[in-house]
Amino acid sequence: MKLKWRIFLLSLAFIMVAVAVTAIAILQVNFTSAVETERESAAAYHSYFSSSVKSRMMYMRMTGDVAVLENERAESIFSDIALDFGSFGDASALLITDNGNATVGAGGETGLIEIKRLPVLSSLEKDKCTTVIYDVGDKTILLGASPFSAEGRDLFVLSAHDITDTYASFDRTFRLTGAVSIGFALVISLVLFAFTALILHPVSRLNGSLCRIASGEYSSRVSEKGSVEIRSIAKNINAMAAAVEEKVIRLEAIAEGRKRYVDSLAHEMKTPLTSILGYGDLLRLKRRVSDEERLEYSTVIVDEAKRLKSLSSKLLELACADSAELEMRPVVLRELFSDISAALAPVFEHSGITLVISKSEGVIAADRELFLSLLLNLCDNARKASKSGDVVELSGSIKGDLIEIKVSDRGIGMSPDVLKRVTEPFFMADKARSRKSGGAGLGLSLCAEIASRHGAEMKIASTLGKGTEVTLTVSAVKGERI
Amino acid sequence: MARIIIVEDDENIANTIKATISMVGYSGDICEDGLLAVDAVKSGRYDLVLLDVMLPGLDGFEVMERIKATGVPVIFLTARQNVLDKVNGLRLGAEDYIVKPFEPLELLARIEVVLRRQNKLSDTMVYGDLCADVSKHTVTKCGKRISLTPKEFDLFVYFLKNIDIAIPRERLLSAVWGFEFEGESRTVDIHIQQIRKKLSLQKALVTIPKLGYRLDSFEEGRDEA
Repeated sequence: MKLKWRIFLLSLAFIMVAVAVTAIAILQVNFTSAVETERESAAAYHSYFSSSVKSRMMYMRMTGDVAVLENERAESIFSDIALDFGSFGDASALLITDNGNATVGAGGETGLIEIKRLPVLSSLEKDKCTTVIYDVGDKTILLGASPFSAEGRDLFVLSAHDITDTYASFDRTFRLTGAVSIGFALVISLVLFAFTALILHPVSRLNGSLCRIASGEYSSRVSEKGSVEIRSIAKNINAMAAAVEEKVIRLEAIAEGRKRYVDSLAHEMKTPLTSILGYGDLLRLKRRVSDEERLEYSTVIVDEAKRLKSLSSKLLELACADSAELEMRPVVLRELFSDISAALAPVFEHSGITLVISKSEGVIAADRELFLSLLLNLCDNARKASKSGDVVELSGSIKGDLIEIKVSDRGIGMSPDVLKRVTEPFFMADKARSRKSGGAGLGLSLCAEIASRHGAEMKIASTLGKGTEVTLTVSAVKGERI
Repeated sequence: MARIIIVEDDENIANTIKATISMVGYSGDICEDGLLAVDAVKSGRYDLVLLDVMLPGLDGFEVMERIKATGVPVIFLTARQNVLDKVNGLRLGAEDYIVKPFEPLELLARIEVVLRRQNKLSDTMVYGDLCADVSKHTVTKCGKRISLTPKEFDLFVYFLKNIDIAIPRERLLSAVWGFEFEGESRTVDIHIQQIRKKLSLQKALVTIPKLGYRLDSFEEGRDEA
């Protein structure tokens, strides 16, 4: 159930109960006091009756000049008084009886008097008017009873008072109060409902925005308006959306990069395979293959197979650089550089390029084999970019806690576009040239991988036609300055 | 015979293709650059373009856009096995789309289909005194009609298209019976026997052990004996 409906129904129920309880309590008190008044007026009636009887008797005794009136005389007086009082005041009927069996006098609608409603008459208290209330037909009757004695006889007087109006008016008031309280409860609840809806509106607005974000519109934001609480929720939602968006963008970039990697890998594998399959099949299916053709076909097959081999070994190296445990040991740059110089001397000499080691200070913590392969790769790249007679410079110098290793050449350089993509796997600035030298476009991505495993920063600066400078920044091993 | 331009930047692949198409007598020119290829095709010297998608200068799809007006049929060659690429290529109006690496015979079969659709190939093929008419489905020897079953006819025509090339049994099966056919290579053997008998090609239609069959180029008087 929606929150606003729940609030509406709950408040309606509470208000109804509260109003009803209050109204009923007040009505009850009023009604009780009205009935009490009726009882009191019945009592007053009875006491008036007894005093009237006494004074009448007294009067008769005095006029008749007797001490005690004879029975007949007394009875006729009773019956007269009963007749008089039967319709006197608010009484509807009056009955005088000795013990409930014999009627001494009666007046008014005596049918309204039901003696059996009273307790046993002889048990009634003296000088007190006992009352009971009951219904006769559609009338509500208050029956009052009190004992009295006259002329030596113990008698009881019973009087019926019609209090139907009291009950009816109570009933009317009750209904009216009920209707009014239900009406009020409804009005108050509606006001509350509107108020709740007003308070909850920002929540549904937030929800709408959240739904949009949840459905994939990660760039959509919630408006930060409303009360303090709502604003803080909106702010947090926005922060969350921003975090999700950032993650999604990063994941998409990773997925895109991976897809490009697989595409490139497939392309790099299929290109040599096409030649191998083509020429292989020609050798197999052609009826006449000349000696030159056989030589040409088989040479291409072998060359392309070598290319696949180099690709697979480079891929393996890349996978190893990515996952292998590094054996970090202090490596003295001077020794490392002289190894590089020795390893590269033949190829540099062959290309007519000089490798100059200008500075070799410091000790770094590195996996010797991997770091060596990194620097060999960089120096060889520099060689490939240079022409005969050029110089490639390798240097290592201490810069505070860090060591800066630089490989620079004055070769062909790279354009900014090329520079941006140069560490991407399979990226080749000049496809034809790379292919001819057996490259697979993996060298620099391998370098970047090794550098990052060493926590080293690799920066490449290059100007087209002027040369390239690769800077590796590695932390130095302290206390071992050689 | 048909002249084909091979637009491909990998030298070895281009040479493979050239060697492949020259087997069946097509002449091929190699072009390594997209922009140059557009000019070459516009010169009107070619019957078919074999077009690589990844090219320096101008990529294959752009080349396609520019040469569409010439009406020269194009077959795309690509290493990318991407359905979108394929749809893109065909939507641009390419006749076919071949994914690298491909087998030479497959390439030849696709080229043949395109050229035949363009009516660049003659309907009749002659082999000595035998003459096959592809549109009428008839074979005549010295003008006299020889009756062949439809499969025998297809098989014979396939050999005529690939003279001096050994054809593996599987390729014959897929070319004549279709890829869905899961029959045995015995089926091929039986049909070959029939063709040899009906057309007296006992010597010219050679069995290549462990591979398949080859129809050698016609030599006067060989099968007469």
